[in-house]
Amino acid sequence: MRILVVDDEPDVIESLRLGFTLQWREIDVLGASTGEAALDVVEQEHPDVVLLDIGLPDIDGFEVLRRIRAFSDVPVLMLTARDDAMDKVKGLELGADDYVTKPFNHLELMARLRAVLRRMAMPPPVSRAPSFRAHDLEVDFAAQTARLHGERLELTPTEYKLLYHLVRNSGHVLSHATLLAKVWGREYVDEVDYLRVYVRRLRDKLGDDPDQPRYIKTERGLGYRFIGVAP
Amino acid sequence: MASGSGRPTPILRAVLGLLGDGGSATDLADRLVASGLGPRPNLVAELLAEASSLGFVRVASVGPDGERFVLTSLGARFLTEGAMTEDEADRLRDLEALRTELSATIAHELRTPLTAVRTCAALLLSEDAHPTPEQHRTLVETIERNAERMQRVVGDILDISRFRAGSIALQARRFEATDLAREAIGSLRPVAEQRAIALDLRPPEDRVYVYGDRRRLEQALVNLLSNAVRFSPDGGVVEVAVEQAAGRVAWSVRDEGPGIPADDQRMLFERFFVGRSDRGGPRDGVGLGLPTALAIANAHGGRIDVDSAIGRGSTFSLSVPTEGDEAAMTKDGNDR
Repeated sequence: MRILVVDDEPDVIESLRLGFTLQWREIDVLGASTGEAALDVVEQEHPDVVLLDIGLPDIDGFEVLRRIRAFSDVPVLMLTARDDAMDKVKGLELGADDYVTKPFNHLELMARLRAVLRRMAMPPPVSRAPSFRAHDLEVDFAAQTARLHGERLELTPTEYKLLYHLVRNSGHVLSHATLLAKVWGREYVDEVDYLRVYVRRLRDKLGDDPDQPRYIKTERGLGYRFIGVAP
Repeated sequence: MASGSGRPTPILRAVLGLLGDGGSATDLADRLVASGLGPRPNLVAELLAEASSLGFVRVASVGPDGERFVLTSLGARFLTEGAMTEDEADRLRDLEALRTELSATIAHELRTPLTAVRTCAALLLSEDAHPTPEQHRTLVETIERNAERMQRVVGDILDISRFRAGSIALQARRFEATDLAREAIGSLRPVAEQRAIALDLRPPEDRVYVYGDRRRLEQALVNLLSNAVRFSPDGGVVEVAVEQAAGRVAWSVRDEGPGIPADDQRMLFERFFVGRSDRGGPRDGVGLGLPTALAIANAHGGRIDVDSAIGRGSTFSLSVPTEGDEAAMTKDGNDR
């Protein structure tokens, strides 16, 4: 497996390379110190995962992520020296898969990386029920697709998983921690920002107004509840 | 309720007065009711609308539930004083932008080397890493190099504060100008060699003696050299010339870098100015190297001149009176 580490500090790239050499031998580390170089490597070398610093000398990491997402679904972990929650949300909204704040140590990073890879490899959830319908929304569990007004919704695997768990528990409040554990994994039960970003994305795709929801209702301080009733 | 003239409304002034520099919307709602200004069911929306129109009130951590926000204490202190002109509002916006940029820069400059340190330390402590002797040495050297870098950043920040406060007394003595250049070059040589950059010294025909704080002047010259190396192309040449004329000595550092845009030249000696990243060099430093060098030059009654143009490289000349500036320096008298 090959990981691209994008950081303008050579010591960060080299220490991570050494860390993977010593503790995760299946990983080969590719390095890039600028955003342009990173885009070239993603395009030409097709790494399996990208670790992407936000503070780069030519184009910032958010822009690099936006450009990567125009042609690739490669998992991206943002690395940043800022711990501003708004930065985190911005990265997630642009399609980052996780976010690690500097300074981290190698073991922390490997744990996050393993979680992301596990999530990528995890098959979508399956249900014995064939499908679910509420208002104009239909979720086909067998085909793992959703349709709104008969039109297929383009959902990412994470968005589908989130919708799946909400509709399978229709009428019941699912706590932040429960949804985070089901969709992202147990390590993520405190990452409420992740959930908010994905609920917002799902609402956008469903055309759902959070103030007057037809599908996903915010239960303040608790979690979310799917309120569309199956006929 | 938003004020295009930059004048805050009574409710915002009241909110800032009640809240200080932070708190939850729930706490604030209670306090507004107690003060006779509440309840205001759309308070957060009102504040957000006004904050965006005023520009300088930073609102952070507003989630979809709108439950938390923070107003900067900078704005709070000013706003609670009452009316504000457009110029004052502009100044506050500039200050807020500088503060935000500064904290991001310092965070990057300290946390990035700290990441390398923590990663290497974790590997040294790990029971299952088993580094070879060579890898072990690399890990320790990386820790040492990055610890030095952090120390330099912290030192720069402290230095510039002390210079501005006038609390640094120069320890002046007599020394030879070319020796100082030789030592400054020596300290940068390992970094330059990694990128095959030649560091050339052009000494004067005669020895030139200077009365000043040798350590501080070397620090200033190292800062100039460090920038020259950073912006030089691999395999380039950086030349340090030592010259004496009209009772002054000048150390001139010339590089073959991309040159500095005219707009940036005006900002070079401003604190925390890091320069445009498209100058071709890696982003590094907090933007205190040149302001610190200038403060050292000024403290000696000297100055720094810049000659640079796009595509022609840059020359920075640090010059001070050879006999020192008695008013500026504290003599220790040992070498005079």
